[in-house]
Amino acid sequence: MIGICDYGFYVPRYRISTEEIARHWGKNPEQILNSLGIVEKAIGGADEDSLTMAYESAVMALCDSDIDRKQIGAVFVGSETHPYAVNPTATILAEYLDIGNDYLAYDTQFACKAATGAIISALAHVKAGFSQYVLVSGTDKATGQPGDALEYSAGSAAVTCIIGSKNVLLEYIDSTSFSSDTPDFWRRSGISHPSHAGRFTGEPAYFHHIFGAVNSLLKKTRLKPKDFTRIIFHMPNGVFPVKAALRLGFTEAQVKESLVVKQLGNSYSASALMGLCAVLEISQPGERILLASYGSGAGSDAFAFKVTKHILQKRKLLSKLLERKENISYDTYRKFL
Amino acid sequence: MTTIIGHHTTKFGELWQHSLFDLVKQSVFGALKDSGLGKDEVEAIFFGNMLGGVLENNLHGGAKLAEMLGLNIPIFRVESACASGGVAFNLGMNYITSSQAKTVLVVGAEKMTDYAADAVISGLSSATSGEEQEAGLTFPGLYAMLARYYLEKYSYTEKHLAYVSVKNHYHGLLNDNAHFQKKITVADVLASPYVADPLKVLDSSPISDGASALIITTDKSLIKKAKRAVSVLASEVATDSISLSARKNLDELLATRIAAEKAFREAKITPKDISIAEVHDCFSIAELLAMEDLGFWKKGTAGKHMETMSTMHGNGSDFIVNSSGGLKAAGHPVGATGIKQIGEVYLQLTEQAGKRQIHKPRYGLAHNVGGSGGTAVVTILGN
Amino acid sequence: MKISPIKIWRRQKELKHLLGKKGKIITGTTIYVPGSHHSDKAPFPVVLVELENKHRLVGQLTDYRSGDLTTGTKVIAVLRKTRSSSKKSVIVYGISFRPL
Repeated sequence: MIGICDYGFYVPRYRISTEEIARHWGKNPEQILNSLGIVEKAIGGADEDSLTMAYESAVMALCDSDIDRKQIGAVFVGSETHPYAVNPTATILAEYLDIGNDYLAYDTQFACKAATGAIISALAHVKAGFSQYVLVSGTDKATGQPGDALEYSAGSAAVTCIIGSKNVLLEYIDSTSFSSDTPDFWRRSGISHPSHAGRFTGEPAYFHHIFGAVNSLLKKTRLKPKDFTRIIFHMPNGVFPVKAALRLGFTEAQVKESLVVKQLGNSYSASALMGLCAVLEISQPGERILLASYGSGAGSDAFAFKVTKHILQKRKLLSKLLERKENISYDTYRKFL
Repeated sequence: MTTIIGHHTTKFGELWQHSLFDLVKQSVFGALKDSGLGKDEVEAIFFGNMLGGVLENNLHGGAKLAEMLGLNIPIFRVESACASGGVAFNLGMNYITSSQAKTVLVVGAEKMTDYAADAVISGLSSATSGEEQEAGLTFPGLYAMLARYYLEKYSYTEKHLAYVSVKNHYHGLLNDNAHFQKKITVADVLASPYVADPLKVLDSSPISDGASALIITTDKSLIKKAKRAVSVLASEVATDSISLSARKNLDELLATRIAAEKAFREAKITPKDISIAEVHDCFSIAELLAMEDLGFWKKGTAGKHMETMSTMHGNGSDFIVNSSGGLKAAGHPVGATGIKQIGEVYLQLTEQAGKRQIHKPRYGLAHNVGGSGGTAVVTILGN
Repeated sequence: MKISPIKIWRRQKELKHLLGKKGKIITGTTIYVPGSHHSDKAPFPVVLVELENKHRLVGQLTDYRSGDLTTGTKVIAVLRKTRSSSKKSVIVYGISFRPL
């Protein structure tokens, strides 16, 4: 059995509401709230970045764990806001976690699915016997161009998963990946904000790839939508994941508890994983979970997992962390980016 | 006994027309004139300066001075942050005491206004530890922490700090060389914006240019000839940790206390004998701490004493502090301050202090501090 | 003055061991007028902390509510960016303190 042995997450304290951003731009907040389904989003402070947030989430993953850090054989960090264009986040993270020097490290980027792709590689790495444990972090301090629609959703968070074969709390059943060359959202080198192709990011991008990966997965595993207790889809807003769920034959009840986007915004590489953390808070042994990430450019990774009895000792409470929050003004928000 | 026989201080302020070495030149030749000496009678020079390297890539001040004066004598550049002047004086004294020379010139100078404020603030931070710099602690930040600690421990308010600036600004009005000649009130101080709370703009000494020089000698014939001479009874230096985090107590500057104890012992007098003291008020809190650490007031009582303004000129007191205007009003060209302080005591003891002259002072003290208390120099003069 | 990447590298080894350590605030201040390496952050709070092992050190306060900058507040050492670096230089990470 291989899968996730430990996990941790981090969300910064600061929140900016859709209402506050709309007010700044003289827009009608009601309208935006309805179309995006996001009430507020989390944003890292001026002294935080993808690395510091990944560190916090990794500390949580390792804190009550029985894992010997020196047995972590690989560290992968997925982000679209790596602190450096050239210089690995993974080794800075590993250094501060005091993992030693005997590990493989690399960073990945694939818009919002940078981390889930690395998770698939980590699973293969462990299955092939290359390492006992692999640490994978998905982390982003995402920003949107001032005045652009992405400003309401681009948020900050980090999730770390430790992949291994001992005392697995979330068993890996199977996965599929669906990839193509689709220019829905991109950022050129040296440019500070990403660009996107408007409504093209919907049907031909998000929906097409999630459907591709999930349908493949269902076929491969011979499982049906009703076989899953809960599902998590990548959350660019509060509306798309629900639409995707219904169109694939799942119910709103199955996807409901994963929708952290409403209170946290879209934390890009951490988005789907954050939804997983919310679901794990209430999952019981024996339940099946489906997770499908989406990364612009484009691709989707779909996973089928089964919750084991180890969740009972290793469960972490996201809702408790989210109690620590403070709303800020638009001006303060811009200072933090 | 080593004796001061001449002194010159330039105006302190924003001296756009003058470079660092223009100011050095002014004060050196001024002191020579004042003492009636020719430059060839000087046997060694000690030059106190902090920021020449940090701000303008100008080090090797000894050779620069040699060029300017056309001399080949030993010339030493001395740096101890804001105590550079005082330490230069101490080294000059010891040079004479160890019989290397009979007549030494000590000059301190600083040029700060050629640079943007944040560059100067960073430059001054070089007097703090690496860890303090990493945390973003500026000079005002360090003294602000000391102020907060002191005010909380002894139940004082920001008002008790304000009295220092009010007094020193009043003295500045009486000193033509002072950077500021402007009266201020307690309300003015309290209304000024925060630099690092609880310290505000009017709690803080300014960024100034200036230079000051003194000539000291043990040459009996020069002392006899001198128009105005004052003996140096003691010059003592002590150090303490550069970091605030390594200090034993946060409500005192231990280096001041040690240097003062040594100096009073050496001079064979007590704090009660002092009529005029120039203390290091880089920030208002520093004067409060100095008055206690030097032994003038009991620990924790400075706030109460300041309220009475008993050390202000014209209040009928026989003990005045910072008649020059202190660092706050006279200005604080870092390397020059230590020398100017000793010079002010010299002027007072030789009845040359004009409008701010106190009545027949017998003993005077100058107190110069480096950084947040890493170095302290106490000098006692008397006749 | 440019920050030396080698100094940062050496410093990192010392700082690693302080992460996660708890302590309390002895004194502090808010910097309103910063030097060049912190110019875009003002105003920001800096505190002097005494750790449980009696070791004292200074650092910025982070992730705080107003009112946390008081003597005695319990804090924990966390990893944060501590200095503004230029667009070209190495990023400086260090210890900051988060109120517990």
